[in-house]
Amino acid sequence: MALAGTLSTVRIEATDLHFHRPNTGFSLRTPAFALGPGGSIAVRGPSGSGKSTLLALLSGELVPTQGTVSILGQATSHRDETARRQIRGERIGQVFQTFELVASLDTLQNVLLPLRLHGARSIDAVHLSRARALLERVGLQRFESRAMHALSHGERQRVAIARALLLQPAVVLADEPTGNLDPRLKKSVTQLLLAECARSGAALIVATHDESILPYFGGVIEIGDGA
Amino acid sequence: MSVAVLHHALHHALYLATRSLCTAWRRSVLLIVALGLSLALPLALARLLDGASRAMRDRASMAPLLLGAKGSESDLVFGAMFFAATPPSGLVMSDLTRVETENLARAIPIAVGATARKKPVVGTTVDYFAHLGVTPANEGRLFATIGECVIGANAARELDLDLGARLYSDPSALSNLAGVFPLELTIVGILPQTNSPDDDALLVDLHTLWSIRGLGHRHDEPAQSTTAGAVIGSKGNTTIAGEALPIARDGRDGVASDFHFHGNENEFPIDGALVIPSDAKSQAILLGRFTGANTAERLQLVRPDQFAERVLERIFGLGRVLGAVALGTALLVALVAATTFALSIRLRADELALMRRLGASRGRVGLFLTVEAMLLLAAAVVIAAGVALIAPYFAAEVLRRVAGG
Repeated sequence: MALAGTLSTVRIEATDLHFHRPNTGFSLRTPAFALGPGGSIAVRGPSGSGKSTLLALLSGELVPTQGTVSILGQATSHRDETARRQIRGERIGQVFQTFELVASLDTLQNVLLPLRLHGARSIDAVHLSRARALLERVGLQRFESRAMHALSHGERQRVAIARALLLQPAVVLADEPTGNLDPRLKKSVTQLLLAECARSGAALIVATHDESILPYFGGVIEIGDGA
Repeated sequence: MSVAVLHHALHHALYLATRSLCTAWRRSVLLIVALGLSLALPLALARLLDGASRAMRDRASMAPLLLGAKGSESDLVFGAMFFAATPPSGLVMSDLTRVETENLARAIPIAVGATARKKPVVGTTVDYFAHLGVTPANEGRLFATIGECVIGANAARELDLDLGARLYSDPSALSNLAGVFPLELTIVGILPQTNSPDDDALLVDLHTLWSIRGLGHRHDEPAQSTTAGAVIGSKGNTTIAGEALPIARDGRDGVASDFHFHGNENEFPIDGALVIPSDAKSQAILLGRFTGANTAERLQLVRPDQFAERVLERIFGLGRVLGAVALGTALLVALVAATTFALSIRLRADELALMRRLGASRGRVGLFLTVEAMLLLAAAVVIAAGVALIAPYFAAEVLRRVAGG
């Protein structure tokens, strides 16, 4: 697959990934691909085909049976669990279908959550300023003190996008980010995600079975039925 | 992990744990109260028993010996020293000479059995205060005449009575108005807090208590009374008063001089006497006289300190059982609290999984949960400490109930 983005600064590269889950018959094989800053790919396939599994392989939650994942030129997929977790925390931003925000935190603190979870520093003015800037870009600057239950689905997904971009990741992985949104919001959230990744220089990989958002991406990877 | 990293990790964990506890505040309060009470139960029981035993030992040490009529030893001690029981009857004033003879000891009489607004009225002499080294606070003084009383600090506060205030003693029972005669009492002194049964009592002169019991009274001169039936006859120069002659019950000026008693005061009843032997030898002699094999002896002389130790042994025996029950209950409640906490973690499995997916290590997630548990425990310990701290204040009430039972 052609490299989207700038060749000299490859954000993420996957070479002939193969994943086999023992005793289930599940097997996933994907073509090689690489993404540069602002590059984007949609991973398309039916439910159960392995879209989420591919994202888990890219994030280091799962280890491929064959093939390699590299982030910023460094092979990550076969490093130990601690290293993969650290890379996931520092280099990868994630957006989930069900938003997965922490109910006990307000909007601003949900955006800052990655810093609290693996940051070795306290949250300072620079972090707060960056989080507020992100909220402003996703249109939630007035909602920074609002509880999660007081936000609409679209607003929650925008909080998740801001959170994914807080640490200026090399790669953003989004698993069905528009799956719980109505058609009007699907387009705006997809465009927002693409724009913010382009702005920050992150590569974007989105798993989706929604045909309507595919035209917005630089490329599409087709995944079969997973068997 | 360096100290700085640990510091920041703790700081973030503390923030997340606090937010989590505050958001689910009902669950948090429930867990804190359950844990706090389970911790407080054995702690409070231990302090309660400790406070009660100290109060009992202190009071029992107010006199080396206690004289009373033969009968229940506990009724004598709890009645005459704690004003919480009815001592065996049969002791009279003249019996005091039996311990005071040969300068073996001095005796301070105590008479109980009356109340005023439900507080015990205790008859004694001013020697009682001299022996205890207690004097009324501020402008107050000891009682000097019939009808005057000195009130304990708690009783004064609870009944809202100050110097010069007046109150009537209670009739013993509505069906027995003739048995104990209401007498107006005037407060002339308020005792400082002594953390003893004196705090809840009204102390009066023996003559006042005898008057309440109907042994002394005040009335108009029968011959000059205008009440029909006040005089029912005469014998020589003596006027015979009838039952219609009004008995004054108020404590106005001059009441003391008008009071008179019928009969020999030496035979007037008392309920006990604090006996202070001159020395150890005198104490041994007195104990020998009263605790010998003389089955015809109608009096008993007890050592309150030894009695207190026997009672405390029984209480602590009970305390040990209660302690075991409290500990069992505490463990059960702690188990329930721990299970509830574990359940709450399971209910938040998605949230914890999210933390892992966002790159948090198992250690970070564990630290977050540990800090949350520690915060709950710390709040529970504060509750437990508070309950344990105030428990001794109920010690006197426990003593009273033990005595009353």
